[in-house]
Amino acid sequence: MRVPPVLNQLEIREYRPGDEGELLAGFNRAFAAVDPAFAPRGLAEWRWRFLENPGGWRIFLALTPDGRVVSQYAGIGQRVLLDGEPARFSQSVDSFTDPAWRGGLKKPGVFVLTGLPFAERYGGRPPERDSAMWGLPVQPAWRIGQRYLGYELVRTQNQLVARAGELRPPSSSRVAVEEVASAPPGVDALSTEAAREHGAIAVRDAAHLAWRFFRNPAHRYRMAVAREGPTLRGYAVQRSGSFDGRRASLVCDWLAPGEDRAAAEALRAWLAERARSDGDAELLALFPDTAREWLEFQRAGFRVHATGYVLAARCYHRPLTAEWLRKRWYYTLGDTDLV
Amino acid sequence: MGDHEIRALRSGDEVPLLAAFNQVFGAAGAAPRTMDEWRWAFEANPAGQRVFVAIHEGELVAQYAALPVRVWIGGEERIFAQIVDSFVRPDHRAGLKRPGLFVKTAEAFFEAFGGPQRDLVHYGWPVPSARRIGERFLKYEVVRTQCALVRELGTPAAAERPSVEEIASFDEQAKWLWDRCADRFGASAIRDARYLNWRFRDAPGKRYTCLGVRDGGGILRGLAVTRAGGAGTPFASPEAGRAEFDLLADWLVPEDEVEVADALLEEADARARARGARALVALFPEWSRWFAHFQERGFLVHPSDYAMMARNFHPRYDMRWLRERWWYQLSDTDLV
Repeated sequence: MRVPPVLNQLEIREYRPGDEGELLAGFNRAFAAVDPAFAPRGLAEWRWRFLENPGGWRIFLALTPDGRVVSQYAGIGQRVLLDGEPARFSQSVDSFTDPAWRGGLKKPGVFVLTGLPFAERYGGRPPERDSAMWGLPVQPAWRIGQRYLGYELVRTQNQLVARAGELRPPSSSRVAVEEVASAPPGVDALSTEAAREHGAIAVRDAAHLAWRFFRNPAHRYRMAVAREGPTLRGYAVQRSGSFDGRRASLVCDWLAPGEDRAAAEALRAWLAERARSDGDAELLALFPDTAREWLEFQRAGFRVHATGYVLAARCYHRPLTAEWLRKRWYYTLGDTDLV
Repeated sequence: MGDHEIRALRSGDEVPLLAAFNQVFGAAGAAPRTMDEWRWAFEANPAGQRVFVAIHEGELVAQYAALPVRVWIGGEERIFAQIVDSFVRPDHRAGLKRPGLFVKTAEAFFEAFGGPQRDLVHYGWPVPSARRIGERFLKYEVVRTQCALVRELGTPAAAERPSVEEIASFDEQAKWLWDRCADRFGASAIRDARYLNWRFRDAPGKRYTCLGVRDGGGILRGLAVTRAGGAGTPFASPEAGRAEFDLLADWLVPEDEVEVADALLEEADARARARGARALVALFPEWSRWFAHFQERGFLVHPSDYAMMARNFHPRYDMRWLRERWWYQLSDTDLV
């Protein structure tokens, strides 16, 4: 690719300790320019999001000779099980380019020049590299990503929405549900069990849940677990918030493997109760439409609505393709950075 | 392979075209197409003809074709075209990594028919191999990954409903009905008598049931077209795929006519049950009132293996615009 001469003065490289100040300044400048409601991100949140993530960080930057960060291509790492084997994905997030350095669609700009070495550095075969990079890109990033960075569409993403008062009550009382303040014992085994049902799933072990939900500096989540006797059968995580412009009680994470659906019913009842307590009229969940939960939640009273999002991915080795991910990858809202 | 002449279909090409088509698709297990079926699709279509062929040493070896449809969009009548039946004879195919005759024939086709002043959108539900080539070489993009509404047939609801009649042939009332619906559509095939009669009444080898509800003055208030779908369908997940399906091929009901909608739905259900079907399948854009209404009436939204793909020839009508504003039904495809 021919690089416009003005871009040759930029240094494009991986993040190094010490870049945080300029990186955050650039990030806050770029997002404040396009979103009047944008609240600047602080260092604590940034550190939590990238450096403290048990799945690791992926960051490439473009810097001017005087050290200003004018572009970032970044990803939140995920430990996944791919057909039961350890592997890595990353969710592309927070990418930005200073408006003064943006190229058009016809001329690759610094966004593409930062994204190409990012893909080169982090994408590849397991277990060291990301088998897939994915995201819910805004329209301009999607168009540029399609053209220059190999983005492919996994699905146009729909959501499930229910009136809190209209969910069917559980038919069984043999499963006990309780709220917990930390990742529950037995969750690592539950995560492994769930992985047997999916071609690809992010590891939902205690380390992940503690980081994602209990140490999150921006939001407070509630988690409930379903137990049958001493055995953990499932969990759900929720918080009150907004997704795609809709205010609702958000089902932020959900894991209820196995053929016996009593735990799932009990957890949905807890979610409905939480929504009512929080004053939310609706519950909202996100699943792949190929997951069992897609039809199960509809049967329980959820209805399907469109969202403005497309789920895009770039895959780095066979048999992974966008189509494979569409059919076999399990995710929830909590896999994204949107809740 | 040498040189190919790529050009629009000419009189006299029909027989070798059909022979090549049946050779290629027959090898994949499709039933042979008859000349009547071909003429209905490509000569009798009221919106015209879109066929390009490639000739090699006097033999017809490839086709890129579409079924055009008159569409109301942006306050004017324009053409969308559904890409169908495209093929290259196996001995003239290239791999995925370099554009071959398929791509060259398609590019000539797009050059002839696509553009801001010509066809605005070409679309289709390609098979995986055509989709990969299309995305890589022909600017195909995904409008949406296609879901379908599926309801298992249950006990009929006992309610007073307007009576439903079978429609043998459409007249000017079809356009009146479409006019009542079209305010909600950013883009839609113009469902007038000319189109509906061609699509449903005159289609050889296919049997559609056109159901209508009329008011006291005999004016058409709603229309549903059904067709037996056979066992299994790509429009539902495997769990539902074992059932025998009827397909709702078309649906034209103003959004404020819920009573009419429910009457048509019950009648479609009753006829499906009488045929021994166990489920009814429908397709609606997510923004449609009927997408929500059908869910309220017990339909579940299932994934399918299809993606609605398109290439737009005017920047205003990109994939997001089409996803959020284009009304299409199963009958806008050649799958029913």
